[in-house]
Amino acid sequence: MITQEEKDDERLLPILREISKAGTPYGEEPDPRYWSNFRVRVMERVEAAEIRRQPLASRLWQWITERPLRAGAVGFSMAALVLAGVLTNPFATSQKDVAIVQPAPQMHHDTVVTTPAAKPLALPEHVITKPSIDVADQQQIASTNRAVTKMLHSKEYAAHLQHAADASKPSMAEADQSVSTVTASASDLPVSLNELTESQLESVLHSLEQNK
Amino acid sequence: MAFHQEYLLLTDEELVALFHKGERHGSFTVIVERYQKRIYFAARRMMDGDHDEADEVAQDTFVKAYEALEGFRGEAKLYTWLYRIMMNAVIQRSRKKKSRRTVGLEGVENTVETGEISAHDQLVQRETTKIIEKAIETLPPKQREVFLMRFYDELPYEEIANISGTSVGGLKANYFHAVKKIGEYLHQYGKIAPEFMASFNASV
Repeated sequence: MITQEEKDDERLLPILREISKAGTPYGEEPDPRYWSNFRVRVMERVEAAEIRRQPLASRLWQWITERPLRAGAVGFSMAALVLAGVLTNPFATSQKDVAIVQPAPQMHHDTVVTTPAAKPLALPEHVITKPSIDVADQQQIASTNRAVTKMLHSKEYAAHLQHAADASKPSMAEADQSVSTVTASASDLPVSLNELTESQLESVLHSLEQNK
Repeated sequence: MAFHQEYLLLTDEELVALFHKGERHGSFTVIVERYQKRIYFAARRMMDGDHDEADEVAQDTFVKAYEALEGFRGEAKLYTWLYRIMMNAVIQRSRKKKSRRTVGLEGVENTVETGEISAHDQLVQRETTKIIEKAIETLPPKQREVFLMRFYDELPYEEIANISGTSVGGLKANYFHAVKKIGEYLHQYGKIAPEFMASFNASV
């Protein structure tokens, strides 16, 4: 019993025979070198794809191990560049040459800088500033300070203070309440003009005029 | 890149097993060596004879095969599996290319006119080949694929069905119509006797 499939094959046979006689279409052989290179090119692409899938660190290590001389040259060049950069960096200066200057906020100040030249690893530099004052003014202030100090330690001033204290002595009740305050005042004897009261200042000026 | 001559004696299954064991480059190099021509020419027929396109497709096929061979478990023959990868590469490339290259029959006629008498038989054969190439190019894609796989690559219908995802019955119908159209084309150029084509058409 012949199937429909076999009948179809029989009908196609003359055409298939003619096609076979014609040879294989597009059957021209490429250049002979093509086949010897084909396998190599495929494997090169395979290896390139494998390398692309590897992590960066692994690729770098593989490159270094495969080309040690080139890797050494690159490493040396990079080290030389870094060293040259460090040596020629204008911002990198030695510690002892550093001078930190803090500008005065409102007026011009002479700046005095102390640097621990002998001890580079000591505490940070301290900056001391003082106002710019004329020499004559400085001399006058110095003489005033001396006079005030002399006066504060004089017997007249002590007597004056005692007299002023007696005059302003409070009642017994008020005295009891302000014992601590009085005690504190007694321990802090005036050492500068800023700490004196207005009345004390007036008496100081009075004493100065008398001394003159 | 080492090429192991001793691997040439191994079967496909043994080469794949070797690949799975970690001898990837050595075994795969032999697989490439074994199938490069068949894959190249199959690709070239699919790409209308363009050597450069066929070369690209064939290389893509093997590179993709290397990446996927780890998962190959031998459900199909190795060549069938490679062929399927090649067909996918052809489809991808054809989509990129969009328009297929068309070849006029001027080349066929010129070949006949400029042929030498001493090489007459060769020229006749060459002429027929060109006509067949042109006939194949005019086929619908499905018929064309089936015809090339069945007639030139000699794949059984079951494997073609596996590659193309079409039923065996549908493939046989496509193959029949493809051969008939090529016969008609050959008849137009006097390569098949008129009485044969008449009887062929009458019997269909």
